[in-house]
Amino acid sequence: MVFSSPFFVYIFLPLLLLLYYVGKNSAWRRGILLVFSLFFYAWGEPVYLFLMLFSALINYIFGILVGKGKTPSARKLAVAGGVVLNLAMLGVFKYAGFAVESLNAVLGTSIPVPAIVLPLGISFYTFQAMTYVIDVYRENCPPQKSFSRLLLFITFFPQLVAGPIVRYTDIEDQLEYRRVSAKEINDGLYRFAIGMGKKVVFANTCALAAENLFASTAGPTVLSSWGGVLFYALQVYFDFSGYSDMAIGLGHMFGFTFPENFDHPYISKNVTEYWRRWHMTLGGWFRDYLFYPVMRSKLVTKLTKSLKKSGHKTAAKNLPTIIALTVVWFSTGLWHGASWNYVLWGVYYGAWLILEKFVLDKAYKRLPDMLSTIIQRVSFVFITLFGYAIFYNEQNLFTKLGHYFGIGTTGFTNVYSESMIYENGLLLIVALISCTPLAAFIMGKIRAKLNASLGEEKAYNIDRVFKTVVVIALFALCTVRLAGDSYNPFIYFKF
Amino acid sequence: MKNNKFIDELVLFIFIILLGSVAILNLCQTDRPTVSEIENRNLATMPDFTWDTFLSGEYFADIADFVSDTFIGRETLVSLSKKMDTLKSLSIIYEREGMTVIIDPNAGQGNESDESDDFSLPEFSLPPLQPEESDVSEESDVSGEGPVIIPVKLSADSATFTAGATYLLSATVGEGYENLVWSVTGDAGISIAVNEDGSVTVKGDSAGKATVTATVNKDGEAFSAECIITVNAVVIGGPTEEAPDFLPSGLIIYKGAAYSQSFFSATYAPRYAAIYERYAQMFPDTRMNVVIAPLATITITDPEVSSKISNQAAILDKMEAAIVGDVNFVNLKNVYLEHADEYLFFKSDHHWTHRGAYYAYSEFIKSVGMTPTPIEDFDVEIITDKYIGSMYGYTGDERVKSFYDTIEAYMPNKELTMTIFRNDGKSSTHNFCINTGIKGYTAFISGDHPYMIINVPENPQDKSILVIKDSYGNAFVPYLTEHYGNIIVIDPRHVDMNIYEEFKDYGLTDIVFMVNTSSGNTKPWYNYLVNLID
Repeated sequence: MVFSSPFFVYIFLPLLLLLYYVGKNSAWRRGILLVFSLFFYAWGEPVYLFLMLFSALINYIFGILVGKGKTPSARKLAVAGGVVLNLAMLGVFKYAGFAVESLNAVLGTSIPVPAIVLPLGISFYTFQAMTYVIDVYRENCPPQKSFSRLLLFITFFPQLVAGPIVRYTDIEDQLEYRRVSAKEINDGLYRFAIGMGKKVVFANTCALAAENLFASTAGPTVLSSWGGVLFYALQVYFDFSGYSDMAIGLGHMFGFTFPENFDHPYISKNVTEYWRRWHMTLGGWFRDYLFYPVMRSKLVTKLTKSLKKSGHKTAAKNLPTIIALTVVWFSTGLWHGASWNYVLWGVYYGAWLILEKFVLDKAYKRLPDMLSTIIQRVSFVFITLFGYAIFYNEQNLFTKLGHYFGIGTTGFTNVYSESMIYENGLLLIVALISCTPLAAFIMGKIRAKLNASLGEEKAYNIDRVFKTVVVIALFALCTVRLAGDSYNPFIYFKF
Repeated sequence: MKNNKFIDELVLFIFIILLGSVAILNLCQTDRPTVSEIENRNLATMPDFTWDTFLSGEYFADIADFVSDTFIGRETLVSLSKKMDTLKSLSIIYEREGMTVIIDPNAGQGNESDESDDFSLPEFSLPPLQPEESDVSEESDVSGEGPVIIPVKLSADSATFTAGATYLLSATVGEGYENLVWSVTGDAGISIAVNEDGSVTVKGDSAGKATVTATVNKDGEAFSAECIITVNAVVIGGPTEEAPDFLPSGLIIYKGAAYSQSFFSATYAPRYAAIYERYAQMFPDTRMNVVIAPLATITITDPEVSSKISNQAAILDKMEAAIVGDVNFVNLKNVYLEHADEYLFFKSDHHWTHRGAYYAYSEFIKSVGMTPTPIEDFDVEIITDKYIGSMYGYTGDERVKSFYDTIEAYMPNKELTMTIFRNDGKSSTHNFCINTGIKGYTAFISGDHPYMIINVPENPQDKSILVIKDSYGNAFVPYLTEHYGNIIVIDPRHVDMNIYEEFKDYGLTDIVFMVNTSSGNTKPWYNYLVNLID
């Protein structure tokens, strides 16, 4: 089921809201959320529902085992078991085919390639489940004794399919008690409407423009390549951040507060800032559950010690970070897809991060501010777009990358490329402006003025009425687009 | 604060009422539509439950489609949605000179070029000709001594075909003769393979000439018969271009009209040439004609623009260059370039106008030695001046809705009857072939039908023509009533017929393959032509 569809908005959601709020009992409410979540998942993938239930069961058991472990090594064994099982499930169902294909390519063997259909949301729910087991081990939270509560955490439909990656500790308390009021529901609806608007108004239209430009009518040109990838970058942002908004909004409607996932990433000055604003929950996950463990691992600490002893002080200081970053970014790339272009994309970003941290930051400091800013911001645009080019092309990667430099193109531009960009020109301008916090900034200023002149209470009411009008308008607009247009692609569904 | 809480609850209540109303209205629909007028397609219906579709998730996906497709007021929503699409463009800020390209959403469906980078032809062969039931073993003897038995007679004395194709040659051996042996001498690219039934398949891998000899023996003496084989090279590239067109499948909006495009397939041109020649061989007493209509872009004369889009004139030239054998290819390039500023094509429909079809008719009639009726000698009826055709649906672009077309019909001068046969065996007869009651292109011969016959009593009844056509042919056919007594019209997309069986004894004067450049060199139509004689 897709959030931005008439079925979800006009059948699933109203029914869920009705049944949830008709009962005041917390067990009833948890039960309703659970039933609807499982139904939501089964709607998309009936067979793999059992896999997800099995995953929840495994994590439940291992959480208890970790909790019961008397010695550190017993606990370590339990958490290792849990993590290994989670990764094994992910590995088999997502990467088996890829692994065999790559082996065949490298070794020249012809092992039959297993054709396993990717279970919906497996990349998200296994990562979420792992936060539970690991945090129990780290004594950040006690093991969850109620299977239904843990099941709700793992299967709750808003963030199940495409994030944000919610940690168990984020909502541990909310599984028990959630604050509900009309205000919370209104806030949730507003957030949901904004997300739906991003998806339907910007993501779908930019996707069509990108597809048309990449279709390379009358041969690919340099302009059609860069233009296509620009629209693609906008598509991915509005699609993904819109989905996160909808997820956060939906959670809010039922009293959950999920972590933020995007903070206007395209206004970043450089790659380091970008990864603090883009898919923040994934970055946080890799930082806390992979980067620090690697840094603190025996292998790395031993390496650091021996480097210090042999007098290589800078290497001793920097090498652990570089190793950890490489591991993290290789994994981040791989997490995005079972194909080598994704790994390359991850390594590409890892390289830029390392470069910025150890070389470029210092180099830019030597330049005058204005110049440094301009160079950084311009290069950031090209680095990001080129990164998307790597991300987009699972096949014929290097041929396609050549197009960006005029290799294998039929010219710099042609009448088709120009026409496509002209036909989507206004969309491009408005979409680019919408990537910035301009709207929020303006609203904030107006709110402050209202506060000052009318007082907080009245200002709040005006704000609420305004937001509701926006919600109704967005629902109406999206209904027109969704019922009237069948083109509704979604990228992160392959996760 | 209490006041805030009140407002919160009030707006939430209002929202719930609105959402709930739409939801309930949708659920309570009794009469759900099954067809979308505006999108010209069938709408999804409530799917049946099967375990298969349930487990694969298809059942639920179909339900979601059903809900979307039967959403209340959907037709209005679709039209509103299309209008919104014009907001994406910079045209609100400034008008751009030149053309707009909309990528054809149906691009590449059935119209793909099979071209790869190297242009060597793949192998293919046509269904073999039925060997003639010939009584060649007997011939009356002038001297009166009884019939002379011919030792060996071949199915043809000479044969010409295009490189890459094969040709079936069979021999009839006279009684008393035996040991049929085949041989070939000549250019290396021509070879033979003997088949089980004694016939031989001649393969022409490259251009050249050869002689295929069949030898038989009787009482130690050898007798032979020969067939001269000529294999023609494939010609790629016409007089004005060196390489085939790129696939510009985009639809174009330019100066108040919408255009579609087509491309030339170097792979299929020789196949088409070969099948035309096969038709000519199968109907030896009938003239085989090919009339390919260019698309509207041929009327764009501004070289700045025309150089960037599919060159219809070049496509016609290249098709003509590939022709082999006894086939009359009517190249319409010159007449259309000459009359390019006339109203030859619709602005909002991918078809030509009736006036556009006239020039194809006149060139064809001249090429078969007759005199076309001058265009002034037709009565013109205006069917409608508010026609919006297929291009609105294809492009999905609101601008096309303002490109009103006038449908003029050049009415046939002679009395006629048109009998339409449907695939269920039913037929209907009419005394018109242009139905002025239909306010669209479908007025011409009432649209596409599997099979129909127009009879014009005034014309010689033994003068007949078989028209194999796509929808362009619909406007072309009425003009033929000026000359032919019987016009048989076949649309191979809708009919399942073997025309060799049906018409081999009919005594057709002409066969004409009348399609546009988009149909005339792509895979689907090649298959249609093969299936008609298979």
